[in-house]
Amino acid sequence: MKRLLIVDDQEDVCRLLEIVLQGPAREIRVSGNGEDALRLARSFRPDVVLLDIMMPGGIDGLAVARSLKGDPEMAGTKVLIVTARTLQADREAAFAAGADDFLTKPFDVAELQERIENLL
Amino acid sequence: MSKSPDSCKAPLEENEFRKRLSRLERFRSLLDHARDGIFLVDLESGLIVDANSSACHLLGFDCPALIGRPLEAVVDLEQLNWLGELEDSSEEGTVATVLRGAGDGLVPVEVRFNMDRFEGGAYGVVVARDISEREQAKAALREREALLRNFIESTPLGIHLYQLNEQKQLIFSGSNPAADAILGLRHQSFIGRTLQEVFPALAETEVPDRYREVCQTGLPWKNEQIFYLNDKIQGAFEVHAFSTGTGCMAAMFMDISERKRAEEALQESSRMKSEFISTAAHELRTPLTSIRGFAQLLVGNAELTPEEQRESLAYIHQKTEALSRILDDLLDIARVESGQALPLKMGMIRVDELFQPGAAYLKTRSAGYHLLWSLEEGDLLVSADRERIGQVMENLLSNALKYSPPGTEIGVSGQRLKHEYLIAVSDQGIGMTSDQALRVFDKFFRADSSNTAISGLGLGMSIVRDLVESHGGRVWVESLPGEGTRFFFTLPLAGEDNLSGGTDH
Repeated sequence: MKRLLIVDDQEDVCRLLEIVLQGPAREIRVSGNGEDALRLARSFRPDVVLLDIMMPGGIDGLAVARSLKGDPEMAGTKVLIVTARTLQADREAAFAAGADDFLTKPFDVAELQERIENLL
Repeated sequence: MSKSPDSCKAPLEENEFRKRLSRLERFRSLLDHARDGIFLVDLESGLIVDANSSACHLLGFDCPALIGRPLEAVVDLEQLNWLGELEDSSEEGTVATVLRGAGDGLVPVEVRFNMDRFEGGAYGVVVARDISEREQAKAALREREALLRNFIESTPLGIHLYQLNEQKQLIFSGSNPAADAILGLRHQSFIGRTLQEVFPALAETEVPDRYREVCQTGLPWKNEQIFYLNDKIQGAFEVHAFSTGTGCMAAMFMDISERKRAEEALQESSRMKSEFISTAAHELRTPLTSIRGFAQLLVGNAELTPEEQRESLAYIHQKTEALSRILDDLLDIARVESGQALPLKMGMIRVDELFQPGAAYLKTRSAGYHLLWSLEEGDLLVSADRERIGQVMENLLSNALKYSPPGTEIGVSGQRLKHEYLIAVSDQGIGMTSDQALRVFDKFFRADSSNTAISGLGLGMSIVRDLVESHGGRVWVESLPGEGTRFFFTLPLAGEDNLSGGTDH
């Protein structure tokens, strides 16, 4: 059983990711903000976290990535950034925060599935 | 020249006579070659009895014409009143005056006078030196000085003068009226004080060192000095510093604050525009993510339940609507930018009917908020474009929801205000500072562009203003950071006696 955590403040995007990624050997959880996501990640222990960058509240996606990657207990968790921010600087910031992969919105459904397979 | 009366009687030997004559001729030649004009005046008659050729030349007379003329014909004796005082003394004096020559031409001269007695008479020897060149040079100098002074006094450029003292300090030594006017200072009291004392703001800059270099090397230096107060340009000056002599310099400056402010505003506007473009791209990407993703799911072979299919279609529909609204906003702004009025379909409409779509919009989106909705005198008539006012309300309400957390109160109230109907939309959200409130109707303005999670193009309020104003109404905002925001707008009432009210007043 593979565990996926979807983190995005847009409800429609969460739902889309959920439907695209659902499968018999998968367990999916959804979170709408950074703070919630960090709490959930530590109990749910996902294999992959799909992270939006821009979210309300003090903790954005990059902060979530840094926190997870800085936690030795979360070492097995991969981070895929899924964002509408497409500048080279955004990509660099994502990898600097410890992201394992970076995908821009609007994404191709097949490509998303492929990236997830690779991370798993 | 004096001779004893007896010597005249004895006949001179011819040789002796020739000798004396030649001596006289030599003497005459000496006199005639003197550059100064020399007159001999019989003081009793006041007549010129002899003159050298320079005197004749000075006055423009033939020598024979000059001899026998009264002295007062060529010089104003009253001006030379010392003549009388000196008549019986052997003292000398000089005075600057003018001689009147042939044809009444005036010659500036310096006159020296002394007296002599011989052959039983008293004679005045007047030596006149032509000083017209010196006077011309002096006049030219005076003219140049006046020109320079006039330039310094009336130039719109401010001028500061400095001198290096022995300790190599720059000492303020003068200024012109424009400097007072530009800086709003009375510079007079600064004279004798150091640059750092007079202008503390310059002390920490490179200016004192540069000015010192100008004083020491004589090489000019040019720069722009910009002073900020709370991130705003308080004053900006273009300064040209140049040497005015050893150890001295002048700083000539003009006020370029307006130009610098305009340049900064332009940069700010260009920065806002590029930020807008990247925000716009982001805003378009967000609904497209759902549209593209759900459409791919539906078109592809994904095994969706009927419920998931319906859900996907609903999202596609919802996000397509959102996308259209963004495009509508962009088109509106493009219209306004190019100077076109937003097209309005005006019609007479009751206030409660006009705001009914706003109420519906709010109802569907405000779960978790406390709503207050009260319109007084809902049967009043206004002339308005129903859809456009709906757009105004949507922008104001979505803004109120966007910037305030669930659990707080969103209020809409309406009331008659003389010939207008006043609508207020209030929230208890993050609010704005007075600076933000001033700019809220500017294009591309977003109260907190650092909080990128709060979506929006920053066009909504700008469109609200354009729409309300093209209806003949007014729009304004009251806000306190941390307490909330109240937007107000008015629409002219279109009733009975005030059909033209509002727009024409």
